[in-house]
Amino acid sequence: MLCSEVLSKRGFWRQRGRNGKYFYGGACQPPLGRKEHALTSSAILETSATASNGHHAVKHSSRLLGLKCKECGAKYEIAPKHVCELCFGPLEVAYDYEAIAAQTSREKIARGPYSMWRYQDFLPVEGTPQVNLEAGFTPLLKCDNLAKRLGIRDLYIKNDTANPTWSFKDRVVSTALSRAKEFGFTTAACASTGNLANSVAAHAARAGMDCYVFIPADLEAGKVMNSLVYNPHVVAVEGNYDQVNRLCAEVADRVNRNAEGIHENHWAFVNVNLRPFYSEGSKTLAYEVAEQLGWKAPDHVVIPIASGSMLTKIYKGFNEWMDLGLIDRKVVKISGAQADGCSPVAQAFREKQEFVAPVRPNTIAKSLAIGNPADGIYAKDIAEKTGGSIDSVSDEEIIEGIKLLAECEGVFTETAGGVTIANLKKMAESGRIKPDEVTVAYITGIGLKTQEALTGHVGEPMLIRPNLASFEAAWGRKI
Amino acid sequence: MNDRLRLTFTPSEVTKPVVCHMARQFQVEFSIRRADVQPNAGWMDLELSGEEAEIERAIAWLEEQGVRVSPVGGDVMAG
Repeated sequence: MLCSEVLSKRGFWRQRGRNGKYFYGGACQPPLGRKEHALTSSAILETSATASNGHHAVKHSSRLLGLKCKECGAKYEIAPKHVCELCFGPLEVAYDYEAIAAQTSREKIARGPYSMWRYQDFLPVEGTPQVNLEAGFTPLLKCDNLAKRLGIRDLYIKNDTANPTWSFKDRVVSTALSRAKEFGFTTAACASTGNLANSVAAHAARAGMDCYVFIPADLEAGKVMNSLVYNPHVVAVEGNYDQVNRLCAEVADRVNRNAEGIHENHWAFVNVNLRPFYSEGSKTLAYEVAEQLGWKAPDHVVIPIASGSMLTKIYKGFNEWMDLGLIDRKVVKISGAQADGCSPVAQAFREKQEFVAPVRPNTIAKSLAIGNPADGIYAKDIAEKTGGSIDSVSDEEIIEGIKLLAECEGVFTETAGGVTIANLKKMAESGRIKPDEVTVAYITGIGLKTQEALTGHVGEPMLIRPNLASFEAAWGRKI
Repeated sequence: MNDRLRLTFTPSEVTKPVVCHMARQFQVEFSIRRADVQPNAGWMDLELSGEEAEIERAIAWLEEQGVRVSPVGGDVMAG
């Protein structure tokens, strides 16, 4: 579709400028009922790109309608692109839910593989997933010990430390790279400080794809090792937080253009040009919880927020299943958790702001240290409309959260999980989680990757000589 | 060359015509696509066009003025 058609369908006005080009102005449709973010009629949008802009669209199944801008509603063919050519709003996959309803059922899902791919009817991958380490279908643990400590009754954790590279990123990466293969990409890429890099490197290795991982130059050696073992090209970028981000965005854009500036498919940057597909993988975190609870949604979920994407997709996942009648309709309270040292969404929620002001992260929860969260405003809107909340906790509380989960339930989570548990505790203490609510906290990564955060905060071993007397002396009792 | 950027303004810059000054001072053109500017803060998504070195100088100047410059679509670096 030409941009002029898109614009006129969206109600934009048009006038011819002095150079003969057409200029467009008007307002975009606000998502989720929040205040208008678009320009007023005094501003002008100059457009120069067509809707598809040279992308190689592929033939797609009847389940997938295309891509749709979350801000202005412009529609695009299924293609590796993540922002709207008109308003630069984020794109997401649009589905034909009638087609999905005709081919899916609880029984069909239950017969599927014990992985996230049992939910493929709801994912933007056409054929057999080609990049698959069997991520997903992780345990939903009933946590009575922790619940008792927090004064609530029905508490579960979704233990996504049990994924192939020990974090929830395997869900989104498997989705993105399976789709990337269908687009014809042979190179996978990402910019990451940890979990995403590990997951992209591992999945690329299994799929036989070339792989580039961009990391900050000052990243700890242990985290680099978790990617290097899969033998990707690792590029360490010197510079401050904003410089590294801008460079990676530029690389993702330039590497996929030819000499004439036309888009070509070279690198699948999973959370950039593949972002609409990548993010959909997080919906499986909702589907699994609903299925594991006996085909019903919980009352309240607590989700760590980095970019905010996971929170929005868990919300979308529950609502898709309610709309299709796979689970009963109810309002699931969606709450978000951040660290004080990087809490732009919590701040926007607390101050009822209409946009999320970026921050420069400074927290031990590195996997949540996204200063300019792409989906932050949508996460805030969802928490507001579902009766949830978004709060933040200190680094000390994060460490206590890690220890609390380990001591009560035998699950060792990374700092992001500490953020979730510490916020859960705060919410229970303040009454924002009701004692009788069925509550699920999402634990998204394993503690072995962030052991340095616990240095000096856990006990020391008893050092003894190799005889009983030494043991009894250290133990303080006679055998 | 084109760069798609989000500029974020804090209360001290929101009333200043920094984008206008940028375009006068550097050989760059800008196309504003979306914005939300309020009395105490705001953001603007725009496309900057020009020579690569000139765009880099314009970005550095914006940052010197206290404007936060980040990629459109949020941070690319992930956890």
